Amino acid sequence: MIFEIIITPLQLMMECFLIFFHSCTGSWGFSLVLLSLAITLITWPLQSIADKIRKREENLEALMHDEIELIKRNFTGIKKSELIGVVYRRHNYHPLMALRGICGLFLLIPFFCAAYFMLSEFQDYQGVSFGMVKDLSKPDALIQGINFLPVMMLLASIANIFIAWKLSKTEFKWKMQAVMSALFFVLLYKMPSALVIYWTMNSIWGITKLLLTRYLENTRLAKFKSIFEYPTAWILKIFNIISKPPVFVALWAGLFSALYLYSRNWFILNSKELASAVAWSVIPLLLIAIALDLLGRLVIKYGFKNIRNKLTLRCKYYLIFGIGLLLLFLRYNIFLELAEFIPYFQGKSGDSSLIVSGILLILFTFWLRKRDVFKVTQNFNKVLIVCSALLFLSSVLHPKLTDPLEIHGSTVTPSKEIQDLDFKEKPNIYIVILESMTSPATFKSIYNYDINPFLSELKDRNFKISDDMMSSYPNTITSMQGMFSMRHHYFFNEMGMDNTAARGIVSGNLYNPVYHAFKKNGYKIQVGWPGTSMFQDAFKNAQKDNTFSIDKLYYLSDMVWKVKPPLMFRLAKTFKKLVIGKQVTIQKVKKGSKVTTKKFWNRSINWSKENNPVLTIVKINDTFHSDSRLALDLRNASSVSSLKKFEKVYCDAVSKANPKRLVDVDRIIANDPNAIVILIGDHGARRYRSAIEILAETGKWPECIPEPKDKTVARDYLGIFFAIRIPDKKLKFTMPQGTADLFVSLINTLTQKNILERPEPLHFLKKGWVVDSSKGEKIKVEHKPSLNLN
Amino acid sequence: MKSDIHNLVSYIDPGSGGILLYVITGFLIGSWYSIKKFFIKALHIFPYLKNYKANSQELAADIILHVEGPQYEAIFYPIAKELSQKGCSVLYVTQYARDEKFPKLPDNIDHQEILPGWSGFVALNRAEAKIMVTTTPQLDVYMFKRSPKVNHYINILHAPTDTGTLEMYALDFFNTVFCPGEFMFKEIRHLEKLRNLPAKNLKATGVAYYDTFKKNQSQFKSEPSKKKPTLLIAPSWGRNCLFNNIPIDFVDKLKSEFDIIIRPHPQTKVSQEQLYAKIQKYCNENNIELDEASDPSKSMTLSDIMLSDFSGIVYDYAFLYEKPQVVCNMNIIREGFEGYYLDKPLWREKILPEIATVINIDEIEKLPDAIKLAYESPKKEIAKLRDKYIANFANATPIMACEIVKILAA
Repeated sequence: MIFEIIITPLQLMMECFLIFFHSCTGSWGFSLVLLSLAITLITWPLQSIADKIRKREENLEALMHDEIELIKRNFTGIKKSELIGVVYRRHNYHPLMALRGICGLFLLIPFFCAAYFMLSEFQDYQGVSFGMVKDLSKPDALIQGINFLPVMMLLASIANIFIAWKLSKTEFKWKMQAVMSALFFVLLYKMPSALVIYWTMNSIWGITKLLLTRYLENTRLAKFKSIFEYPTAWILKIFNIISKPPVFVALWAGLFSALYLYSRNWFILNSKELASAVAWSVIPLLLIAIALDLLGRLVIKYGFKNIRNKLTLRCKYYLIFGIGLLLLFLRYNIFLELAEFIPYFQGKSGDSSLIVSGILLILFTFWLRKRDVFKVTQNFNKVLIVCSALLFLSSVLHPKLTDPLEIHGSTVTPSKEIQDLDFKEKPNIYIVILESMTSPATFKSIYNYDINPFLSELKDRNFKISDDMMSSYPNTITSMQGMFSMRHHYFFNEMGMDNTAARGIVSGNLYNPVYHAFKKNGYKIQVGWPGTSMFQDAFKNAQKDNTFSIDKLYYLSDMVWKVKPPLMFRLAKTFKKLVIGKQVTIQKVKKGSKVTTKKFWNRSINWSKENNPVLTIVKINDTFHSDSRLALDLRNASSVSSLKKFEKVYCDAVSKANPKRLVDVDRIIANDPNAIVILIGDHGARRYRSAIEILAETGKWPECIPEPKDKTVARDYLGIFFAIRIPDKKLKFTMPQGTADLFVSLINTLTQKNILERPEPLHFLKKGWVVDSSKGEKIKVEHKPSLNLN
Repeated sequence: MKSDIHNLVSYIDPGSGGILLYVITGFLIGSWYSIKKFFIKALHIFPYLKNYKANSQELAADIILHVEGPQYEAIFYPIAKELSQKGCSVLYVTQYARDEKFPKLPDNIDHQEILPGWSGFVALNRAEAKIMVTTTPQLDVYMFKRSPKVNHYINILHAPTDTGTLEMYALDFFNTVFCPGEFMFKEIRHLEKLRNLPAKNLKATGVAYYDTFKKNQSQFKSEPSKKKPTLLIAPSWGRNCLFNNIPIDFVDKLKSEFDIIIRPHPQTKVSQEQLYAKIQKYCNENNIELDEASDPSKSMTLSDIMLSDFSGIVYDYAFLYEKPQVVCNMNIIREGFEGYYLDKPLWREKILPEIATVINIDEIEKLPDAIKLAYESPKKEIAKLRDKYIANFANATPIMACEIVKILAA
């Protein structure tokens, strides 16, 4: 948790820098040098703060020293302890606070960790040489197998210590540092060259900083010395200007609005929506800030009983705001969660929202300024602004990860490519998405289930069937996002959390290039979706009259699972209901009809015939019976017996579902014989889901389950059923390789040109799955990006 | 992940490595301090649990007068009487049994006896009152803690001595201090400033027991026909006191010239048992009168000259009786006392030569001569000095009561 909140963003930021520098210099070695310089510059203010804190700590200790020594000389036992306790109490001190003196270390440790993990995980410089170093990812072995770089590092470190000692005006513990240098030389001797170069450069930049400061002291530039010694002082001056109400208000509104709009790639339909987006991107943040502030005030007033006397007012305030801040930036999701509220906001009058949010901002700011703890709050604002700005800048800088939402793949920009698509043929299309319907090869190898009768029936109806197709992603949310955005994205394995904004895209609330392409070519979009699912809210508020909106929507009442949504999902829902729901009247919302699947087919086929051409998308859940929810539970399916149970439940569900599919298919063929029909699974059946989770957590395959052979797990997870019927013989269709390129293949077929390219593969960056679906290798749970989905 | 962490530790730079050791040391010291604190707290709680029944009584009133020992009756009893006349709700809390020997408290004053020592303080630490008045110093320093249910603490400085003779932090955490005279204000303010403490409410109320002593002076009359003058030896207690620094044999040299009364400080019996036994033995063997009464009035009245050290009785003897006295300058170790932090010379150092003959402890062989000389040529300016330094002489109690009522009403 702490790792992901603190280290991961820094790691990402460093990676951004490294890639950015590489794009500028073309050399990984120089990029490391520049990275080291950048980190030195970034941590400079932190070091200044740390120095200040350390000096304050030393002064306090010096202040108490004589008094404590006097007590020690004259008193013994309990009396001595009690009197020393009085001295501590009078100075608001506890011996544990001596640790404040080394808070510099705590401030810098996240940077150390981030650099370590980033540089050790980064693989792009594998086999890359730099100067005399042949491979940056390995120790250098420059002099007859002896590593020379660590020696350089040691020398730089010693030089740093020597210069610091010479320039130091107070007692300098050089002996301790020298011993540690020697020790770390031994420990780092076999580390990768990249890491050693980075650290050697850190020492060299350290020396440069010392000498520069010294030089400035002795020249006419001495008056600028403070800039180098305490850059924070200058930063604080800027913040003082920022914290003036008008600037403050403008900054908040501007920054967060920009961030929000940026998350949507500046894709705004009209000016009203622009105003609305700006307003509503600020209000939730304000509400959070006010709530946190109130909470802070409550803690100050009533205190946590046990720590009331231990913590100063300021400490308490920072504590509560620290927690708030962590929540706010929890894996960047705050921005995504905000984006989820958008369907509610889009219909709202933007002008009035803007005015309300402006008034709220101004009131909030004046309220803060009037309060006695304003200074603390002001600092909180500073921290918030800095964090947001850093996040924003690092997002902009990263050539691949263009923004936090893009990391999750939630934003898709309308491209000229899509605008220019011209379909030569426009048949009705029915895409039936089958829940967890795995591939024939998987049915055979893992479930020992004979799917051939079903396949024969489909072949009789002129379906082409893929034997061993794999989905691009192992769950619905991620798979759907990839399918409708026609590209790959980063995968976060969190049930119910729509990290990819799939719901927004599938429901047409966020930009959907597939809907856009089809609608531009005269298609209407018709969707049938299970009545209760994590998509429901998004569909309920689906927009119309957009260039990518759904025209006809049905809720399939018989496709409902009774799965309790995760806590976060429920909280988000409650929050919307309580806070937002009362303030927003939803307009222009098209609500779907609630029907059974049977009725859906009757109505949808008729509607398709009437409104030809129509793209119909329907999600069918009965291939995965609700009893199979045991597979959703992490721990339940972690033994051989539970796997057997799962297999039985799953295969029974498929046996019951397949005849129904044939009926559906027959109904389409009978009524709409020229339509293209596609049956596609969203992801694999995931019999080993629990085992994989355990593997991910512990690094070990659970003993209670026999470890499967190669390919088995990948197929179980990603194997999907795929069958397509194209009555028009003119149309040439290339089988997709995964869900992410289904529509690429389909659109290329309809345009009869290969205009769209298969999506570029991306690395699965985060903790989770590293799968080579093209080779079908066993899933490895590592943290290294190595996926090539093509 | 574990191996990653292991590798990470090795990645920390040399400077940080040094700091890491500092972290560990700091953490250990901090933890040790916390454990010690916990242990001390446990020590406080133990006697309370041991005497749970006796301590379970609740102390609650508008004003609590805390009388630590019978010697403070002379201060608190008159105040209680004054407050009773003003109709205040007063609880008279004593850390000793208050039997018939003591004057009866007014009917509207409740009396509650608590255990002596730490156990009693545990009860006081839970007391509920608007004001607690005490002579016990070091509130919130040792076992006597501020009760969260008491709004205001008043300390009565019972002897007209300066702050320098008090132990460290003696008055730091009181709200109000009743001082014998304004001469103490400067010292207390100096300490407040030094320690960055909030300013206390200081009142020059005077010395409460002077009222009683003055009234009682006529009870005792010295024998007019005695052959030798009477010498009262009444030193203080503690590590700096006369008897702790000079063997008691020095009295042998004085026996021929004076009738002698030895009156050790009552606290000697409690805190320096061995020394007290020695004194007792010496008096028995040499047929010397040992005054063990809680009230020193009799001895002071009957004596003609007094020998003392830094004890507060020096001022009583001067200001109440205006008799000659010799004071041994004990080369007091100031460290550990408030005097260490105060500007020199201290008030007592300035005033002592004016009310007594001062000799240094290293000139002890001159003591008989000095006493003789002092007896023959007494100081004459004592009354003037008293009027200058002591507020409300012989009328302090009503003033104190008025101030308490004022604080109560505020």
